[in-house]
Amino acid sequence: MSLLTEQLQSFIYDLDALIDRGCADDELWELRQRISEFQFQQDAIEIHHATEKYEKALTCVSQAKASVTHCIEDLSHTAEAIEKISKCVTAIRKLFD
Amino acid sequence: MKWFLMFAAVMLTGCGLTVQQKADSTAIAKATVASGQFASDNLAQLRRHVIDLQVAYHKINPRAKCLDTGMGTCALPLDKGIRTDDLTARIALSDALAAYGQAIDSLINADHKEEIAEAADELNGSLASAAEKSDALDLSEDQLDAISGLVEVAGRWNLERQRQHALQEIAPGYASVINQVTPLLIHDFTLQWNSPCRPEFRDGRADGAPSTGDSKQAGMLDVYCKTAYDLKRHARRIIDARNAEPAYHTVRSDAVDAYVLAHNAQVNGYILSSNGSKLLSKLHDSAEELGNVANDKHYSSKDIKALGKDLKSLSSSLKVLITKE
Repeated sequence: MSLLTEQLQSFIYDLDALIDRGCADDELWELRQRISEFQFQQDAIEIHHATEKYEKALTCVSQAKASVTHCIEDLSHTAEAIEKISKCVTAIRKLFD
Repeated sequence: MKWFLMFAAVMLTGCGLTVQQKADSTAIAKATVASGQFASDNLAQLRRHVIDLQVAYHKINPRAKCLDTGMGTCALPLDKGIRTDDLTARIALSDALAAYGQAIDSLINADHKEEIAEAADELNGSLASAAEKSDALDLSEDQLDAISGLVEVAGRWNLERQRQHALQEIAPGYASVINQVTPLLIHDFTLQWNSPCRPEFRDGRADGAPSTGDSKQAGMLDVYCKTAYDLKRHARRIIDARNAEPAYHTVRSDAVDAYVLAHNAQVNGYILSSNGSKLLSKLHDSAEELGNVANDKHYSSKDIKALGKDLKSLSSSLKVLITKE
């Protein structure tokens, strides 16, 4: 079954079909406009509800990215570990100085 | 030869990502980036376009009035109720998705080659210097190069193994993110079944247009399409009216411009929905793919070749180091 906003859109099409057949009545046009405004208000409500879900999802993505960044740092540490070996040898060299 | 192949097989099981794994997981990362960028760019534009349509609407509609904001003021509803908070949250998520994809790409492809090579060179230099100063440490130039070569290969292997483990570790998190995010973006970039951006509804309900369909709640693109349709209907009403008054001429001219603006918006909305749906559905399907790629090894000749090169280098280094003079 169609949601309210979809039903309102269908109703607007019905009114537009009447208008296209020559019903140029101002009151009919006024009715059409009021339904259209009501529909936009309902659309805005549905968009606001979705905004809350976006905000929750942002937390999830931020956490996931943090764990990837942590893995990238670990990889960098591997390269640094080799550098540490060379520093260790440098320290041993100094013992012979 | 068989011993070499057995040794190679043993080494491969311990190695990192295969060439194919790297290519496949990179493709997934890049699709994630592209989806995030697509959503971010288009969502910002959608709200701007809605405002443009509303400005055109207010130019041709003498009865259009400000609406009560509920805060003691009256304002023109230029954004059709889409608040800046609504837009900010969506753009923030889209940008975060793109950055997430970029981070995964870096994890897969940053090779740290220069750092490893630099460290191996530095080690070489330190050992050479130590050898000069001490009789106890007797290393020829060849032996120094061999040690350096060993360190470089071992370092690279260790890095690739860690990279593979990292990818396996982040794969479940990736699936969770994609399963949560893509339905939201799909919701904003797909059209309701009777959306006025669909060809069969652009000028009202055409003959043969569907009378029912799969329901979805209104998203950003739906608001854009309905705003365009509303403007088009108003514009048409003015264009169709028979009014010879000179002042009407200006309004009629604005109405024609508005009609064209609205019609183009409907066409663009439909194209955006088609492109967005394809891109985001593909991303949605990739949710489990990263995990499958990380765990499923298929060695190609390129992997064997790369391993062969490393083994050759290792073999030469070891030969130099263990040869008794």
